[in-house]
Amino acid sequence: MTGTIIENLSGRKLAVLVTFLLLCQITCFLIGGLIAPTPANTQNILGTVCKDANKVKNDTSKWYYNRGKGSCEIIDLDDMHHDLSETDIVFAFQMPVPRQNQILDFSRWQQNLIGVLQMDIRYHSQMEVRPRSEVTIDARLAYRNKGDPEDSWQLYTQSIEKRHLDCEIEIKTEKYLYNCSAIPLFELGSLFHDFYLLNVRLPVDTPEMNSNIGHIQDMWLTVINQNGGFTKVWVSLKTAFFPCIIAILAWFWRRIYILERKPVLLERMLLSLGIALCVLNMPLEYFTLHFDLPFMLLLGDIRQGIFYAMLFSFWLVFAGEHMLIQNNPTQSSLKQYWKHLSAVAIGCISLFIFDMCERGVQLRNPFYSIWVTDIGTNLALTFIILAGISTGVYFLFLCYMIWQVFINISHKRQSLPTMCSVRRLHYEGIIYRFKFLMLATLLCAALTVIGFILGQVAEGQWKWDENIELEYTSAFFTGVYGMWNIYIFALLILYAPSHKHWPVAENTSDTQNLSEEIEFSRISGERTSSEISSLTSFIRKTTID
Amino acid sequence: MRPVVIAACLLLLAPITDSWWASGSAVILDPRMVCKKNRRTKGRLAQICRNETGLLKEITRGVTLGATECAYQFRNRRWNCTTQRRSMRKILMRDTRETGFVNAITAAGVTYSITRACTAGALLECSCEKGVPKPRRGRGSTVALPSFAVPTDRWQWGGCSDNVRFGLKKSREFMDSRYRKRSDIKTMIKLHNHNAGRLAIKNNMKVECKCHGLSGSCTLRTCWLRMPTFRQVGDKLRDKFEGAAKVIANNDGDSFMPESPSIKRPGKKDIIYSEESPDFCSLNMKTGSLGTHGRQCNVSSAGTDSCDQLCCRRGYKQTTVKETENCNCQFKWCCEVICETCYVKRDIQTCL
Repeated sequence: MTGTIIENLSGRKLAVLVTFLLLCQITCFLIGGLIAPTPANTQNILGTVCKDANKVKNDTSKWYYNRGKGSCEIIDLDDMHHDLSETDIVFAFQMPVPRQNQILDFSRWQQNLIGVLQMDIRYHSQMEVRPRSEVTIDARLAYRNKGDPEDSWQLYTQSIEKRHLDCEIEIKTEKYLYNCSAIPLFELGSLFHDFYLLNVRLPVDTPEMNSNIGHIQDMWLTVINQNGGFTKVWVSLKTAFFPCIIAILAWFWRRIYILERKPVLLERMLLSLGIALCVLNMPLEYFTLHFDLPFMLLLGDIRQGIFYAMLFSFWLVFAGEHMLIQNNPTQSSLKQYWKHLSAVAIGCISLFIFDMCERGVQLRNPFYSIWVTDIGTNLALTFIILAGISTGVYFLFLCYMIWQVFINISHKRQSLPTMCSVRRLHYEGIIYRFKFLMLATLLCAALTVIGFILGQVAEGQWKWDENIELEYTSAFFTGVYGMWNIYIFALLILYAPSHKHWPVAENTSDTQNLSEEIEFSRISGERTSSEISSLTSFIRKTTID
Repeated sequence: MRPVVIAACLLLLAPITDSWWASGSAVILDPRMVCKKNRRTKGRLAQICRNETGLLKEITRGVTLGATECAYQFRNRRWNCTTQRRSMRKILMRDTRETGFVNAITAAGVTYSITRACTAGALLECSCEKGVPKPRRGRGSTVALPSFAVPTDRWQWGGCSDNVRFGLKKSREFMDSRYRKRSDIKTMIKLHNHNAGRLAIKNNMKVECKCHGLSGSCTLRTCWLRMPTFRQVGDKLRDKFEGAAKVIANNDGDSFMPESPSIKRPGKKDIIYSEESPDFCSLNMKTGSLGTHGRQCNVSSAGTDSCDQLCCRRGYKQTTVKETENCNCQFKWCCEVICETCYVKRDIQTCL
């Protein structure tokens, strides 16, 4: 007779385990809050207007920058230059900007780089910016490494991109600036080199091109990169969790392996959930320190996607396996859940397609964005809405199933008083622990959602005290990450098959219960080996009754 | 041939750059003079003066920016914020609303200019501190943050602070440190107005955000601050000028209070003054008023530039001039302007 560990664990041991896991959880939260910096850092860079004196404009070996040897001739756009044409003007952004008389460089720990462009457009009564006018940008990105000569910029990527310009102005007076929204420009999945340089031109190849964009006075680039400190903390957490989950997974599988029966569906689901978590935990970021891996952003998305898909499927199966209304008492399989799981699958696949369309294409062209064209926007929206709908359907399914489980349990509970004391106590304990785990799941989900909302409401840092400053965003990320790790860790432990036999000795001391025990083992004995917990066996028995 | 041309260009440029240093705005604040006077002092001001020439240039540029904005904001008023030496010097020596505004916009201009230079990467010395330097006490028991000697390490660990912080700091150091030791009412008002000018930038920074979480969703959102345009700063400060509060010294001598108890205490963002302004109607060298004689006024306006107000009810003279004007202009990015020339007949009113 085997049950799962949670049924055989004494209250005290359970309390110790829960306390230990809670402590781990708090540690994760505090590590993020106190040690790690904010997840991402921003840098504002004001474009330097350089004069392109070259006759050949398509030459990608010629770069314009404002610092270091070979820097460009700077011009001021405030004055009108009649001797210049639009092809002579280059906005140069050299990143990172220096601080404290030191040339800073990007570290590979900083992982990725996202560029957002903002334009200061001056109002001219004769040159108003039309709503949703299109701006064509010739953007070229170059890189250089430490130790290279200061003028040896290498072409990284180049593209001519179209973006929509959303500008509005309150006071229509000369020399006032439009209030323009930021334009997402590029997304680099890897920050492999030390210095980057962006050269932006606004070409006028056809009469319509860049004709309604007004008088651009300044261009600002905001680059966002992941903070090195955050990556370090994050990777350390991963490195710590990875072996733990691997170990507990091996232990879990060994436990099942030594049983005579084949693993049941719930156990297989738990195993795949554990594997999905291992995939998520794998500290692949170490490779980015030595290799140029631009697909890391995409891979990160996919890894998270797989994990969430597994977690959602697991909950469905978990609720379904305790549903107790089964036509065939034999081995349950995934096929029974195809309707429910298809919601998860549709959601994940549509998000995956969207991600491939955005970040997948960005592997080839970092300046690409799906949101620029109307078709792209519609396509992206279709996939996102599809994902949203299937998430909604999924949660409806899940809530319905959990509700049914609870109704079932309360029905069966009514028959509890007719049982004798030992068995009743035992079953009550099981129901209590089952509910306890349901509660834990709900708590985890609720905490994630609440934490997320709090993060949106309260920007960035929280101060509790003069001395203690909590980096909330980082704490939220490490906290949530740690929480789901701990949650699955606990599931793997508590739902592993137990080796303990029922405490026969205690029961026999009470002679009154002897017949009960016999009856109980008869019920258990007639069961096929398919059940995972005696809770299900209990409820199944009563349904048979 | 080439070196000769370059030399000639340099010669031609030399007087221009020089006059740029000693332009009208230098009357308001001449950084070189400040440095000269404080040659022997130690401290932060001397540091700025000694080795940070790039910074000094930005400060000068900032003062000019402030002066230009001041002239724009006051173009329709009796006092038009002229940087004529004999007027501006007198204005600055007094303690009127106008003095307060000039001080505030100058401090703001310096902050703006330094911040902008930092952002462009033209100034190398911009600092990188993140978070205020915290006192050590009570920290030891909790997790000790990694401390960094080199800014590169600090930057790679957690990024740098926004540049405006550096701009504010340097503006404070340069503009205020000369007066730190004094505590007369005039100095207090000056420092207060400097601060009000800087706050007009700091409190009007615009927050912009970008989502870059899972699949570009808003699970991770990063925000940054964007400096307001200097015109917006000027507008804000002009509003503060209109609502400026008159203050008198407190009995204890190192604070001030509103002149009449019924008025709310001026906040940090408000401009304050202690002397009533002259009416700026007629030429008065003692107050720095140039008078409004010969100024152009707007007969159809009801505001401060109306002929009635601007000319102090002295009346105006109307003349008709024929002017050529660029009209129906077509701008093309970037530098092409195609205009027609129009001849317009215009009535001009000038104050008597």
